[in-house]
Amino acid sequence: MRRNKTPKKELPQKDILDFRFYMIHPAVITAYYSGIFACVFMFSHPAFVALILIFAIFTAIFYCGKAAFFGMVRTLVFFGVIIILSNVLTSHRGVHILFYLYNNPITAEAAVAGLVGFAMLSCMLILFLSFNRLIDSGRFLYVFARLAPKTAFVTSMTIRYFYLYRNRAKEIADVRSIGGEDRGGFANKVRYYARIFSALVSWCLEEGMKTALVLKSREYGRHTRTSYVLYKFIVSDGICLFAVAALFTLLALGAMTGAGQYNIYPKLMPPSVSLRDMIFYVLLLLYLAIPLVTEGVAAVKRRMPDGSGICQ
Amino acid sequence: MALVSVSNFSLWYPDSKLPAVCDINLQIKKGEVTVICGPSGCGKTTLLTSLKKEVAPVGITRGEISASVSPSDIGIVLGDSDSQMVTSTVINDLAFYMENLGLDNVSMKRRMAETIGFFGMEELLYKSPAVLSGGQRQLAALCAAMMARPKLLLLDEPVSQLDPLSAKSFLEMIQRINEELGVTVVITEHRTDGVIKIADSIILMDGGKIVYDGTPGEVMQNIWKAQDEKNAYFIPSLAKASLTVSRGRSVAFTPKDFAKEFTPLESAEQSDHKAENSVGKDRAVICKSLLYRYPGGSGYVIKNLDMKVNTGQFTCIMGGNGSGKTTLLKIVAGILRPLDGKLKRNSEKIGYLPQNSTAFFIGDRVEDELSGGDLAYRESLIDALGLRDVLNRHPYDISAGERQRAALAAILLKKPDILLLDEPTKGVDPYMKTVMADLIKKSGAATLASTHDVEFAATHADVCMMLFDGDIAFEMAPFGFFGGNRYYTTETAMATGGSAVTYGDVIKLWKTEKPGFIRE
Repeated sequence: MRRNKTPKKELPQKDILDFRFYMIHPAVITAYYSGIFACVFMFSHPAFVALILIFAIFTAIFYCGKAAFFGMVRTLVFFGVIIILSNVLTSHRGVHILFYLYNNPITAEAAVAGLVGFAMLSCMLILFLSFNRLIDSGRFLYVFARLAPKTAFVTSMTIRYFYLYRNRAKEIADVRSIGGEDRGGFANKVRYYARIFSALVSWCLEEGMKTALVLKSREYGRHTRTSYVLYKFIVSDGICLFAVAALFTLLALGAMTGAGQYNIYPKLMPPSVSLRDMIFYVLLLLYLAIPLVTEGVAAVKRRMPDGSGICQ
Repeated sequence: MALVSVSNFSLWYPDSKLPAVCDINLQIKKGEVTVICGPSGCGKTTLLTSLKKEVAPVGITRGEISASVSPSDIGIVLGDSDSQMVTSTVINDLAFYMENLGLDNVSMKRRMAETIGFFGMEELLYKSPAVLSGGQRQLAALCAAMMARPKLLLLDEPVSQLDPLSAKSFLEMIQRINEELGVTVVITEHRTDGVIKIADSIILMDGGKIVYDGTPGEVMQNIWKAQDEKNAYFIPSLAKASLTVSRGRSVAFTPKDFAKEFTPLESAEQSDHKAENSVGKDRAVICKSLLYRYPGGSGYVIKNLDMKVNTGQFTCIMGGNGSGKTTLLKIVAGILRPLDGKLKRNSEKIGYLPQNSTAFFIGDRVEDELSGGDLAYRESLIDALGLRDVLNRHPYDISAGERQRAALAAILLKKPDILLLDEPTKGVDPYMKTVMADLIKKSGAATLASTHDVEFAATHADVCMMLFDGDIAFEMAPFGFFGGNRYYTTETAMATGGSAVTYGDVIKLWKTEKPGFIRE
């Protein structure tokens, strides 16, 4: 008999509070990430896309741990195959024909375009890993609430309901799993799930009425609403925001004037590298390095023997 | 001085001929804790919510409610703790009320800082309501209401869904709010034990009318004098014991008061502390070295647990919050699969009452669940559990206690051999608890009930088990179980040092007679 089985050791996730960048004002972090998301679309040059992808993977592992990133790889590969295949099969533009499939030309251009599309999607998805860790739903709503208070409030309520109803659906299904209800056959199965769903819906509506009463009892909508300030905006937030804004403006100007661009169609060519491209490549590198610099500065300050770094 | 006075107040709900509350005359005095008690459906919640205009029930009213505080100085905490929190983190929820009132940032910060300090809720601020326990949610709702600095606080059944320990700390908080901040408090409850200790005055309602009104001592003695069989259920067991022993002359509410005034005639002989498995010979459920851990959970909830339940045996599983009672029931029910170990049941006819009985109903009417089965048995269940009036109602429209009873009726109707009940007495008034226990025993099923209700377990269980650290720490017959416990036990046991556990034991110990109008 096996006794006292111990579970497989899982690597503990590092505490997010250990990261200095997390303590930057959530609005600044959100702005920073919005900037990177924009960069994914602004630059089509493979070197630029690759840089962002590497950065995305690095931050995902840095902030969320290896397990979180590698847990995602399978999903990514799945999407990658779908994107590349569908692009190759539906787009027949380009001049480098690899082979014919049922009289349809399969082109190298379409394959590369699919690959680039996949890289962009990967960037987004992997970036969301670290973004989610740094800006959880509560912090996101806080930022969002400044822009659209009512929408943010409704969203916050909805998020709460999402988890609540998921648990409720499970509760109802648990109870039903005991009754030994006839679930053989398609029709019975549909009937069974429809009944659970209808019970859940009435439960939700009932709950909604109660919540409405709670809102009323807390005088919602009777006075002009104010909002509670959860995060102070301090000097280092300002410095960080300035760096984000300045670098992003430069990058946007560069992208608009044609830096870091690469056209696959109509004919696949080796990517060219101009001096201008190189300058903006460095600027992008600087922009991506902001969190790392923040962590680095904090680490150096903490190690100062007399603590002078912290007291300044 | 009366903060609120209610005179000749009646209220009819739109679709009913009978008034929900009828000719209520009531003075709520400033600085007092008033408790409104009564069985499920007696109109206490209607009366309470009528006191605050924003949440007052819609219906035809007669009479008058006049308050000397402005409506915004009245705070209210409504019963169901699930729907009390409206946003996705505690701090957002606490700020919500103040944001609605349009306070500036400095006053919000000030109130937040001091109120959270007062409640000791610093640890919970950034948690999601979904991960809080019922007690923590209720405390957060109270904290949110206190942010508006009310002068009058209305609480609708705040502790009826909580386990005794959470209920106790909640009521202690109410007491502090009342004593230290001078806030007037009105509480509704369907049972008096617990709230009676912090009450300055108590109002007992039945059928929409006030039947008793006065200080807790007065009300209890008046019920005693009137030999009121129905309302005798609202006398907490310790008060009942003290009234019996002193023949109605004095009443004690706390173990301290009881022990001061009454000494037993002789110390009872301690019975041998073994489980008296006198009921049933066959094993209905056998668990051997069960192991369970929630996916992603931090530790094992059930650790190498061994347990045996006989046929026809009424077993109560006790234990602190999060000790794994619900998990164990779900494993026995077959909802969760143990990671290791053996589970043997002698029958597949299982009845399971979930912790939240709302999940039990999926039809539009209570009657939908009560179909089939033996017709005579069905009728007797409906009458015994007082469900006749709610058969045609929607399960969500009836009170929590009625829902609990209806669910039990539906389960018993299927004549299960194994009965698994998760907190069966939650929200049920004292009289109905006795009825439920009788029906459960009569059904002859092997019953496994997780409960926090020590009085219920002490009076009705055959065997009590203590779940601790993922295993059954010990199991005994109620007398040995509660008599030997020092903290986790009935108030009667606390007061008598374990020589009497239930009201019945007190009668035996003092060699007195049980008055005819008291039933157990």
